[in-house]
Amino acid sequence: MSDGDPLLAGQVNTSRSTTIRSAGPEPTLTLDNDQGPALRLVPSSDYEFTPGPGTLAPNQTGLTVTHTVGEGKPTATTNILSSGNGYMPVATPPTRVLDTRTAAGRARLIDGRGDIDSQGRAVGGAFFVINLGGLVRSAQGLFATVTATKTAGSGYATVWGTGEWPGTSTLNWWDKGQVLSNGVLSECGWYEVNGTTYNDVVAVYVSAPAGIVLDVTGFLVPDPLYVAATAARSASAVSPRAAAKATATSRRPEHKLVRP
Amino acid sequence: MSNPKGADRRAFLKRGGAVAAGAAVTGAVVASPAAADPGDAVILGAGTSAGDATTSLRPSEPGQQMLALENTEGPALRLAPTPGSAFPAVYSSEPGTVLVDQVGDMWNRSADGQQWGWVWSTAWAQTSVSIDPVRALDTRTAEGRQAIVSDRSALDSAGRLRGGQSIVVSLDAYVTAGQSVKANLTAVDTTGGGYLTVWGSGPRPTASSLNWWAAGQVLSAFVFVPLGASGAFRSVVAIHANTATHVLLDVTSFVVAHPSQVKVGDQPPAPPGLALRAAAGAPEIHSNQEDSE
Repeated sequence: MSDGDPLLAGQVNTSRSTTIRSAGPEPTLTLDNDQGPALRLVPSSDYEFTPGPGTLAPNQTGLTVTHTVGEGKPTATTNILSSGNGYMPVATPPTRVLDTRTAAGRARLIDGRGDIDSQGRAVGGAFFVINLGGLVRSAQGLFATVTATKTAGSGYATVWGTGEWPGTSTLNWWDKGQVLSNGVLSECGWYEVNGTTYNDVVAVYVSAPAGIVLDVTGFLVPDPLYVAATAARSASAVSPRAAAKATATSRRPEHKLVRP
Repeated sequence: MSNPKGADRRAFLKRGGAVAAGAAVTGAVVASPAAADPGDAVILGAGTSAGDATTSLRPSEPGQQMLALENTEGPALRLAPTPGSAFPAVYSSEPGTVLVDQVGDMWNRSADGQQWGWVWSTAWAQTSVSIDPVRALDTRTAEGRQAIVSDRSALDSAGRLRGGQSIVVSLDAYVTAGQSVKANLTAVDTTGGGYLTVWGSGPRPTASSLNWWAAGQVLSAFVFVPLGASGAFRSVVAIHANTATHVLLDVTSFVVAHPSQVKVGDQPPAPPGLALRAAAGAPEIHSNQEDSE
């Protein structure tokens, strides 16, 4: 096969660029396969190639499309946002995932149960790891309200999700007997304890004695399907998305939460 | 174009319903019935079947774009939906595979073959749109109370939200069928230690959005809350106080399927036929629920 020959169905055709033009309301080209996918774009290894406007191509995280940003301007290539490369904010009904004052409020703790005093307060230097399993999967981050209560003096709490303690504060107080809250947006990570790996966790560090409450209000996820409270509303039962496995966001080593 | 073999065995279908292989690469072929054996020429303006074979376009020189489709009056390319029966077998398709499923979601396997992704759709995905802050609620003034769409008996004579009471606030003036809201919640003129809970659908959760510990305080916190629907109002939140306080809600952002849903600021227009997610149910106001900060 070479330039000028007809395109042969079911064959490998080798040529320079082929253009098909039409001028009607129907698609110029329809690809139809009732047994499988209709199109495959073979990844290119030629990175010197400057694609023309409208070029659709795969990359490591999904699909790219090339466009012009103005007449006479060079082309630009953008990544199409998908479950493989983006995160969206999804609010949930507020859910209490930590309350050091009650047994029920400590149920999600997978580390730090020994850092709570007899009055239900975090001790100074407490480190809590909270398992978010059942609420979300593969969360990149979370929205929450963190509250300090029964404070014994000045102090602060830090909420974070990956790596070591970041050396920052999320909520500060300055006296005993205070009750204070703050909104927080934090990464989520994974954590290993006693040989078990927990894929969706968040941590709280507390510098001085205080009761600590964490109410989750939302998550950053690739798809609302990953949030238990919104899954049913975000896909019909016949949608293949609903049955798809979570291949988009496997946990990487750098997402590991580390005890201070 | 000449047809080297067997043109008489193919039926010619409607103009424009053409067929062929996919761009810089493959694509299982075909439109409708007209059967042809692999190796037959693809006819412009007709349907051609390649059976179960893949039709591939490959460059004769590196760096060439393989296929350009141009239509000055309509769409250039259509991928007929892949039937549900093809799942999950399609997961093993080669890297670079692109398909549209039967509910309209576009899937693709990344170039390295490590993951499948589905392109975000306004039918289920959502995006965050920031706005200049707007004061949606201020119980201290009559104007600030206009967005309250529930029973005003939850307010005392000074306009404060009573302890143990809840109100429903409509944000429909700022957004059309929004998914959630980001805002700054403030308690003013507190009458004792207490808390506020903001929620958007279903019964009041055991959670707090803002806490304080004495009378006469002014405190704020950022909140992120799902929006619910109540009667004719499609974007509402409920606010509960366990002790009497004035309440302010300053909205800074909405989460929506498409920015055109936000009525504040310079947002892009809605595309024709925009499909949106359904709103959540109405918040259930139960003022006799047990209080817990």
